Amino acid sequence: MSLTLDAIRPCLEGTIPSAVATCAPDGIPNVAFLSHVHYVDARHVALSYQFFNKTRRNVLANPHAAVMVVDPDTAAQYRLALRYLRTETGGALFEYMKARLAGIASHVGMAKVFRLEGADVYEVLGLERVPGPALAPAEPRPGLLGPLRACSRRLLACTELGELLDEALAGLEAHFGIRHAMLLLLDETGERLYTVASRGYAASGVGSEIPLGSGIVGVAARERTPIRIGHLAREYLYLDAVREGMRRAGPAPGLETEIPLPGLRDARSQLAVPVAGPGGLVGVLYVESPREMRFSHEHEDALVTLADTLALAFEALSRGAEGRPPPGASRPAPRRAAGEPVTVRHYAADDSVFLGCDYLIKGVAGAVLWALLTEHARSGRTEFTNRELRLDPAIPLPDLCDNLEARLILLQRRLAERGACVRIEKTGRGRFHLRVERPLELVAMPAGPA
Amino acid sequence: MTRTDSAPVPLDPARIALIEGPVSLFLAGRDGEGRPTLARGSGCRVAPDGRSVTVYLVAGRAEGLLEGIRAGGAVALVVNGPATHESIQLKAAGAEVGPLGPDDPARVADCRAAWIAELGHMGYAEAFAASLVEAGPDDLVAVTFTPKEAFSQSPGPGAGGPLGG
Repeated sequence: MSLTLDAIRPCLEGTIPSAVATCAPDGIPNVAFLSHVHYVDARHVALSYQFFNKTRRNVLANPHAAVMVVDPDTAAQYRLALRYLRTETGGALFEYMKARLAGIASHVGMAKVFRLEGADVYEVLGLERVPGPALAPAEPRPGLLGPLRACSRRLLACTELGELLDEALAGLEAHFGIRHAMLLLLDETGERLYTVASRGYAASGVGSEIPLGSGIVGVAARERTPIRIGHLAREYLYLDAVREGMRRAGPAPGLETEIPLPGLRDARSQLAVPVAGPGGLVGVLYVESPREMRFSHEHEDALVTLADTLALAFEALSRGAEGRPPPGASRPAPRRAAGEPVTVRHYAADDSVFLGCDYLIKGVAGAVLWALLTEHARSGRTEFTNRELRLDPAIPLPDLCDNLEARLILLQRRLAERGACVRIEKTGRGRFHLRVERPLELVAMPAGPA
Repeated sequence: MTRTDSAPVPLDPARIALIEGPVSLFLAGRDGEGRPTLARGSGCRVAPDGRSVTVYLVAGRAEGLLEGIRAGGAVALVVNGPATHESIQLKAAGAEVGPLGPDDPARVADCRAAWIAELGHMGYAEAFAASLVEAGPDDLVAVTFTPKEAFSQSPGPGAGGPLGG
């Protein structure tokens, strides 16, 4: 076919309702409106199967179908000849369509009506432009290859993991004009994601967590698929979904150990892209906007490609960050901390750490901090390496593909954001300095904070 | 979806008001190769007795469909009120394709104006709405059929259910 599906992707944004025609075995046609036609790849689309209706009954018996779509800018109309292949009721495509449908349903006031039962996948047999007038495109849109190239270059110029994470978000703003973005990394259990960097929010939310499968970010991570929603989709909103996930997880503990999440309260456009390299899923890059339909298919393409580069750079910089043991002779004499002592509590059950009465961090980052402070209290040491932390049996790192460096960045940022009397400062590749500004009183708590 | 009996469906005033109101409409049938096809209608009219429906199509945008209808193929019409999502589908075993009658151009113009106004209320530019249904009178044909079945297509689990006569 000379006209390609890729060339008409704007028609598949769900802006203008489409219609689908099918035929029963007795030749009686059926025609129905569609909420959207989903682009799968250059030769396939998927239609939402919501109810066992006549369209579905027909294609199970006679796989041929025809769909009309409209370009939302030019009003050009296209007719697609389709052949039904299969129905997917779970997995990446299904979850992507389910999230999109939630956005469209909410947009047209059908939030309680639309419900995805399956993603019906069709092969595109033919595609024709329906003769007729078309408007000139509003204005030529700048392509996104230039911004992608610029962002990619910035990532490859980074020599440290923390720098890489910040540059990824800074590049999105500078070259794509995307002002609200965050990066979340998969934790060692593989069941949660934690915020390690964000941009465009009043509070960074570094250290905040989201369960795998919650909201657009959690679903994108679990299914390893990008998800793009162009309308307000309440059940996928990052903030709301996470709160709901937390609520379902059980009653709140006696002590507050939840870091507030960043995120727009009423994001009308959302795009979550898995960051995955040869070593597996690293995390999720998430961008959002208060504007409807802010992100196009091209944005999705660009950010998926950028996330691939980010994953490769992430893995390379994580591997290189081992560090050598500090040379004993050159170790500076520890400065004596002054002022009122601060009590540091560590709960072994979840490695949560409290400075005074304030919750700081938990999990691997909490275990790392506790190990550092314990060693500092014992020997007065202030210089450390990633390598010795990795070998410390008290720190529960997974065997493969650990993200110790990312945890140190998280810890460093969390301490800085809290204005804590303890800081971590990078002193070289895989090496860092522990700065303790107040006398500390370490208290090991036997049980969890609940 | 349960097939109703084969008696003609007399359309009640509420259905007629919907069909003749500002609606998106698509007529479907089979093309010359027997595969399903469809085309957007530029308007429609219901006969005064509520027993037949005429849909106006731009011939050049519906060649396969018209070929199938002329060969005796069945048709299905779906209409949808863009603002209300109220939607019904009518089916007939066959249809007649003919030129526009003396009153039809005025009817098409009314449908077109109502459609443009309706989309305007929903935020679409006039030029956009107009170009979806734009047609000169010489381009149009009238497809007339007697519905044998009518189904509610409003979104929801009840979609596809037969309408009472």
